[in-house]
Amino acid sequence: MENDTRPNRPPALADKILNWLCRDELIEEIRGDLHEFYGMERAEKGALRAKWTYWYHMLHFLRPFALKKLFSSNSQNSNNIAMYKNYFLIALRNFRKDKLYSFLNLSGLTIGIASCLMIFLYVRDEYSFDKHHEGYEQIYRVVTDLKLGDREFHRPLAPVVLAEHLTETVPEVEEAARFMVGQFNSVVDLGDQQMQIKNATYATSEALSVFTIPFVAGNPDRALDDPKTVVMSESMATHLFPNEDAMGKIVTFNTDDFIVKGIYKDMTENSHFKFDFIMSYAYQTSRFEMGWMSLNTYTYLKLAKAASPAAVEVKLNEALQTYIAPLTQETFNVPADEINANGNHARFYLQALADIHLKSNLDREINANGSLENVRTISIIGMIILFIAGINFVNLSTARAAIRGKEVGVRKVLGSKRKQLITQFLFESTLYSFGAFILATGVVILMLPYFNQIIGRELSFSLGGTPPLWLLMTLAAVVLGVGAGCYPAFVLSSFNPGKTLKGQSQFKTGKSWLRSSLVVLQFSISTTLIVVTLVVNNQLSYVMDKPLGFDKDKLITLDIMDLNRYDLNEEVLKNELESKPNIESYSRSGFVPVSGSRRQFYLEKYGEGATKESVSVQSWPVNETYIPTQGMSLKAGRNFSKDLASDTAGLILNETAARSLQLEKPLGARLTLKAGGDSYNMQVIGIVEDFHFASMKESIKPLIFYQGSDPWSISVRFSGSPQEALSTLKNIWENNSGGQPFVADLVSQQYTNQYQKEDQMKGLVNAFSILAICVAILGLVGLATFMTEQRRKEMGIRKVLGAKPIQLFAGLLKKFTIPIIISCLLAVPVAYLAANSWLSEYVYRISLSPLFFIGASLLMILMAWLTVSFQSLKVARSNPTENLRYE
Amino acid sequence: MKGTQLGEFEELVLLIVGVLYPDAYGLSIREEIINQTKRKVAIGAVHSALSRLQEKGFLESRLDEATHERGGRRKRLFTITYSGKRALEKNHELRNNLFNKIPELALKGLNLSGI
Repeated sequence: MENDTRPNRPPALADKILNWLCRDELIEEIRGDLHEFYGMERAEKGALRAKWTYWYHMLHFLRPFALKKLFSSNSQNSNNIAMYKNYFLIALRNFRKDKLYSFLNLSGLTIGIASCLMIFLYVRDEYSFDKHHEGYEQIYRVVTDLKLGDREFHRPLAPVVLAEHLTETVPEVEEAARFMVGQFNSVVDLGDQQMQIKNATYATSEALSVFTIPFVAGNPDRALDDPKTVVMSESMATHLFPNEDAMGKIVTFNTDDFIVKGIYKDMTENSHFKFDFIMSYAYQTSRFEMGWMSLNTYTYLKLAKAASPAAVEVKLNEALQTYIAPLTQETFNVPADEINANGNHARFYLQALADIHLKSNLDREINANGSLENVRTISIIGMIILFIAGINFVNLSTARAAIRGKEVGVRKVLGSKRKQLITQFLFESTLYSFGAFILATGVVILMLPYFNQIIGRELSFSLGGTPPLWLLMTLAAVVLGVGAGCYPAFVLSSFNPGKTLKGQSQFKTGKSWLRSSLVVLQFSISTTLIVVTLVVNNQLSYVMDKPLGFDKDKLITLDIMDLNRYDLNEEVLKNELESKPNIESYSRSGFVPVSGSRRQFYLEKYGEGATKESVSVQSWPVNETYIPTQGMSLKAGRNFSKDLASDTAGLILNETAARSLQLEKPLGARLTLKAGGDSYNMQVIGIVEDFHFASMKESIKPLIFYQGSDPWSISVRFSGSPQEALSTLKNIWENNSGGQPFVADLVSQQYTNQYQKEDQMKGLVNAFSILAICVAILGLVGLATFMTEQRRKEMGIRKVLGAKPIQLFAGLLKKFTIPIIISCLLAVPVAYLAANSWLSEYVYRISLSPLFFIGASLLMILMAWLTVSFQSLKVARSNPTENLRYE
Repeated sequence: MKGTQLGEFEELVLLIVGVLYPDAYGLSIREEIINQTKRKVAIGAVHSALSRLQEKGFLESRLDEATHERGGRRKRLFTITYSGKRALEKNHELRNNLFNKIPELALKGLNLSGI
């Protein structure tokens, strides 16, 4: 009956499949017939042909009469329910019998599942962005990607006129929506009262139909066609007109009167844009001359259902060739025929609406988008935790095999088949996993508020959604139960009843290597997580504490919303500020270091001499008190002086700007500053030490200061407590700003906000790494308890023969230490790679010192020792008579 | 037992089991079907019919000795039971009866010259 090994035997795989699927009582005759037939075919038509027909006929046996019945090994016995009742009962009894083991197993799984559930909620939320818009699959955003000469422009902004051009000439484009974001946060006048508005934009009427924006009052159809119209969210309406109907009211913005045409439900947070105040786009286009080179419009295209975005991209780029190429010479100094040559490129492309939140991270996004990297990292950590919990389950179950062995023996003697035993153990592990899922649901409901705090979201737990969460959870519970229960089930069911009933151990010495290697795997994962956690925390505190080149503490910035009103009282305001004891200095500038990088200008600069050195620089208009107020230091030269009229043509460079212009003698160098279409002759009067004005992920860019007009920000350096300074400032502001709202921030706070995503990441990595390590430790506790328990007799005998408790203790400890050390060694390269790839995003970063790895390893060993020593000590100190009597 | 009717293929198999007595087993039955009817039949189809016939009580079977060409496996030999014989007779009778009742005219119209 065993496989014959003659060279002309039929295909073995086909036989195997047949064996596997066919009923046991039929297999003999079926295989017999097939083999005989094979022999005949082979003799007549050759081996290859015979093999084919063998397969053909084998497959024809896969019909109901020959197939095994599912869920029952014996077709005569169809009463499975009684058996399952018994399995359930036995599972419960075992659960109660060994409480420590059950607790460890269940709590590990529960932590793992709860973490995964929370992470799942987070990830699902991240992926739900912008999907509430009807027909979101058809909506695309236009991105402009230009590199012309030394100018780069890669932003989700398109020319003002592009939308009109496309709807007229490209049939695939059904509708095109446009947004233009001017002052995102601004002020409006209501009679003589000035109110702050947030999340303001300009939009065309099409924006209200391309996107799903439900109106509660007014009609969205063509609502924004007239230049002086506005629609707003419900919360903005209550903010501006409390207890009044806002419809039809007048709002004054920029000295123009806008009429409120509609009120919509507040936009959801799950969108890459959230506007509360939408003014007519026509207002902007009616005031300014705008054409193909006005790249300032967020353009969203709704394509026809069957249209391919690639085909539309082709037409977009045709438009670029026709309308933009002729203008590049003038604006970028690049001739039209060279825009796609000599390292230049110019193109439009489309982004699917649903991809924007996670995949787009361009300059000038409407709001900061999510991070696919964070989502991925956290998903991986979630799976790792579940994996570790699964390993615990496998380890603890197989470790306890000796105890269950007797049960297996009795069951086998009473006629259980191996398959029934496997079913029993799988059923048991699935019960565990269902139990853990139910507990985890409770844990999630309790922990969700804390989790929300870390990620800065408002996630809620509900079993619905598409696909429904309860269904996913049930499926996951079955998969987890079967997955984790598989190996123990096979091991336990394989026991020889004779041996187990006689009390012989079923494990050959080789068996425990599997358990050891699983422990090694678990602990190397944990060690890796510790290293990564340490590195992330260190890097972020390095970023927070690194000297920035200016003093971000004790500094407040204040936004000016209305320059006209401000200018009226500037002197009074300044004098009052300077008279207060807790205000040290005051300055005015266009940008402040932390929030400045949002508003980058690219200006060109030409050096004099034979070579024309051209560098694009950030240019910040400042006044003479700016440098001292910010706490920056001058490397050379001097600050602007109010008394020297010539300083209006003076420039202060940062070190990077001086370096990249390759000036031999920077001080006093004469340079040409090109801004817009105009050139100014300027002279360098000072060099300021480099300071960080953007994220630490970017290197410091060239920057210049000039004495300029229109500075929109006030910086105030204060002493004493920030609260006190803010209230002083607020008082002065309210008396002298002509009714402008008070919008002030601590620079240190803004700086911290800049790293919000990283901070979230840090919170997530910390929380879940600790959980993962907890689960691993739980597993180790179980394993240690079990293994020391098993060696009780050995310890007793050793003790009787004269071993000291400390020797026994050391022996037990050693057994656990070796796998932990191996796992630390394994973890080092993996952790190094992971940490390095994360750090590589930062231009300014900590070095990966070996201390991280040594520290993590020591921590791991220490934790393992603590876990193990409790049990080991107990056994090592126990009375040998008790150990030896124990049976 | 729900159906003791004989299907067309089942009847064929049953008949051939009788023809091949005492050597009727899966492969030989298939062989004979192919020889007699020139139909293409999978071995599995024959086994399936045999198992149905056995379930209906028309066939009984026993395991024979193992042979070398079967890779050391035994074959199952089938014989017709009494009720199997009855079923065949009933079918045969029914057909003969019906056939005899067909008027000459109807067959002539078909231009079957041999009858």
